[in-house]
Amino acid sequence: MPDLIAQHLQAELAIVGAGPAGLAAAAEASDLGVPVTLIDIFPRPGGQYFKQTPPELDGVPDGHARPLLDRLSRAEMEVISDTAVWGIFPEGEGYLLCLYGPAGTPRRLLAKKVILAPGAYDRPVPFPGWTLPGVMTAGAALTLVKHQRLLPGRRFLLSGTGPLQLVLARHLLDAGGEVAAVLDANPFPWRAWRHAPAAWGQWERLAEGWAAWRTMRKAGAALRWGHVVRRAEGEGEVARAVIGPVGGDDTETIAVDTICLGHGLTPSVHLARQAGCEHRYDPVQQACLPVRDEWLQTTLSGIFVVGDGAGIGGKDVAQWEGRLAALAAARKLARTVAADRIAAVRRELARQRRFAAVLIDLFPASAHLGDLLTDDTVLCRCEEITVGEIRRVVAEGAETLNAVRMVTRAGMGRCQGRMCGGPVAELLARELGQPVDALGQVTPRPPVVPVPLEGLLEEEA
Amino acid sequence: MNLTPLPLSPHRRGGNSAPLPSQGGGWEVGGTPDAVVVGGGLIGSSIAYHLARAGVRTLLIEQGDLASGASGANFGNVQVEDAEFGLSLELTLRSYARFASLGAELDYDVGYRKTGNLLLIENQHQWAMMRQRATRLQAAGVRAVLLDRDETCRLEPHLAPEAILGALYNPDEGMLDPFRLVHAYTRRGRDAGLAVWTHTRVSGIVVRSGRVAGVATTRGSVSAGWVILAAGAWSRELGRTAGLDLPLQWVHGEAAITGPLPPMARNAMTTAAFFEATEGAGEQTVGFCLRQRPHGNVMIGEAARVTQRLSRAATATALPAVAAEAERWLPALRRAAVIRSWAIPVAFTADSRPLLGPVDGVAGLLVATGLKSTIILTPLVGELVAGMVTGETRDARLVEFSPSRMRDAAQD
Amino acid sequence: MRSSRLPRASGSAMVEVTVDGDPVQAYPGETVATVLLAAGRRTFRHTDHLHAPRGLFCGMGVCFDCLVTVDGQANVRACMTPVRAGMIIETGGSSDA
Repeated sequence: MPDLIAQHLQAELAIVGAGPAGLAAAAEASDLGVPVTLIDIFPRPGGQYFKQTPPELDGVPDGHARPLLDRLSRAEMEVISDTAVWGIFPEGEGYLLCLYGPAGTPRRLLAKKVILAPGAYDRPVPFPGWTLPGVMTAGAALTLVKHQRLLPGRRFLLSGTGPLQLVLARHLLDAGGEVAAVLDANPFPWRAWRHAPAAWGQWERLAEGWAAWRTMRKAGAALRWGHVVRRAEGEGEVARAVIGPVGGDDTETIAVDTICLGHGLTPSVHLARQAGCEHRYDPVQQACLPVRDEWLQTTLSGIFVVGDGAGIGGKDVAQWEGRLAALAAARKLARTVAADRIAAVRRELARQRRFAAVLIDLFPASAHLGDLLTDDTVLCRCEEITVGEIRRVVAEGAETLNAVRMVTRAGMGRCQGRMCGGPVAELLARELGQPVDALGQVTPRPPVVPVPLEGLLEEEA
Repeated sequence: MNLTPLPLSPHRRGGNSAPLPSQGGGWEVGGTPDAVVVGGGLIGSSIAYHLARAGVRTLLIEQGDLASGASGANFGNVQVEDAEFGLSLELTLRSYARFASLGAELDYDVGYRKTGNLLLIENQHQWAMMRQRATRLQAAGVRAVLLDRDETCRLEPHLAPEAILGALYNPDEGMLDPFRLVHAYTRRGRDAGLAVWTHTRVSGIVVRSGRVAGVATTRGSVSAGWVILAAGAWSRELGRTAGLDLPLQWVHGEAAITGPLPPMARNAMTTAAFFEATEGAGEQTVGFCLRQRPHGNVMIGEAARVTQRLSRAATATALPAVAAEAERWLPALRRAAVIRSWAIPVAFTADSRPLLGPVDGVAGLLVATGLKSTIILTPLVGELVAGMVTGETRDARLVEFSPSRMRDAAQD
Repeated sequence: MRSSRLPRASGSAMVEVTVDGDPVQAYPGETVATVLLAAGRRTFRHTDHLHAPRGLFCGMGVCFDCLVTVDGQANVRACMTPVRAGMIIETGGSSDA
């Protein structure tokens, strides 16, 4: 239960995000006797990878998550759920975290060290018609079918890249849905055999992929490589999908009512950037990632970023990064940390990173997806700014992300640029013939999530 | 004047990309500009536009993105009510007259519309000040009228009646989008030959034998016979490189904006307390101001702290302070989601009059900063400063705004 | 009806909410988005500028597309809001209504 009395709650170690990275960091820190305050935005810990299905909906705890979740009931763990961290500011030797949650939640937390484990979200890839009801992310569809026990459509088209799409297809088929096709924008991964050593030991993952593949074969669902959805059509909601080869002109129209976009994940970086941690564009991940040292500490002393929020690596990389950062934070908090524990964690982290790198290598976000854009494609969903409006402002002289944003207002809506930031950067890069990292950065400002006016106050009214 | 032309350095961005052709201005390659404008905000972009339009070969240099200084934090008010009486008011009214046709002149929709403005009165002292102000404004032909509490709340039903005594109301005041105005000035300027360098820092103004020779920048040196310093708060440190001690101060100003809301405030609103503001010794104060934008987002501000530092960093105390003030005046905002904030140095002068015009002892150097209500003055300031270069500006009364006027006065 | 609930093992009692004035049954633990989708409603609102229909997109509270009015409070994310008995849900609005 959160401490209801102190307004300036204090903590030695604050961990933001209760997904695998945050949970593992909390467990590791607690093993070393460091009391932990864990803040999470969802009603139940677990993040996305370890999302807990509500018990009323036949929720059964995930086998992998169970031990980490059970640790949370230990005395020295304080868990503040349903609460957002909307800003981080340097304060003395540590950091002031600004919180907003339901009535009775503390508003401020003063922490000596901070581990950010904010996770990631589905990479938005715009195309004509992508805002129609019935177009949703693969993550949204997976959450609905797994954790809300709802099949969100009848006839599905999956478009994106990577093995997660097969996992989603399997869930949809098992739930009684029809999968018209799964489109992977990348060519068939012939290179996969070269990565066999990295796959050694990842039996569970491989088994899951194999099971998904078999389910699809049985159901007759087509898996088409090098293909993508070009356009969503319908009268007020999705009724048809126009699909075709990536970088090609052929099209084919198929009748579907739901399109699930699974183009991989993009890190959630707003909070770390607002805090002032330096970020740099990574061309392999095609995202801005925090600059970290070998202890996963950012350019701000005492702030660490771990898990998908620092670069997509999956739930196992996330856990081992969480553990490593917890060891580093514990050392800074004058706890004794055994050298062989550090070595063991580093070893396991390296092993998991090798496998994660395989997926990034085989299933990168395709560079050709910018070809899908037409002038009337809405790029900024919140403010309804089209590709054409952005092109016009560029022709008039705007040459940086910020300049485009300021004049068109793309990125100034409620989602605070999370949906359109990447797509606008990629469009600008193409229009100007420049690499994305030459276009400047837009610095997120507090509050990094929308907060009601009265929620910004230091004390609840 | 005969200056040896220096070739302008080719544009480089990011350090690892090939040089791009520089933007705008066919004269640029192998030549030099006649004038360099330092600072790509509301004032700098207007001056650059007016210079280019007058046939002066002009280069506008901005350290970040255009309008990324105080201009980007501007609420967009086209405001007459708060002008200083005398020459400032006269110039404000002259400038204001150009707004009706500014959009057409710039061939760009800058979002200009008349919405009205309220200076909100909280106490008797402010009431007395506003009554005086109303009289003087009316005498100058401005439709400023004093409203009592009931009249004010009828005009703006969401205002908390217990917070106010009344307001000074001017229905003719308006709003526009400051980013679009800056964009419009530079776009039109480019059509007339203006060159624009963004993400380029001017490290110094070069002066030789009592006359300006050009500027040193992160892209190399630029020779020019005229340098116009329109860099807001940054003008002070730039002025030092030319041996000037400009009487410029600034506050670290912070404000915020909500997501789109249903229409709830037609007028711009500002507390009359701004007129009785005393400079605190570095503590943060909040002067309430509010403006609802066309899409429905409500801007609220302004937390301010006098400081010597130049910073864009948000503070932990500003947002709660701004939120508390906004809630006091418009309780209906209580649950409105705040989605963004900003923090920027905003320049001011001790006597609330701009630094505008030539500098004693340095020929060819002009300063244009420290304006109180910036947007409304952009057309006229642009015209006047361009006229100082071409020789058309001859109003002797402008010495009132001389950047050198406080040179012998004690500074804080 | 495009979306359909999957069979439940536990016999959890349903609760009643209203959607645009009509009574609708929901399971505790479901989000407002789930309830709307299960009731055949995919369009949650219309945009301010182009009056375009929007519904669920990211499903995790990041995109701010799935906005509905809950118990009088506008612009609430349906995917992040668990239902309660008696909840009043209104769809189809826009910010500057």
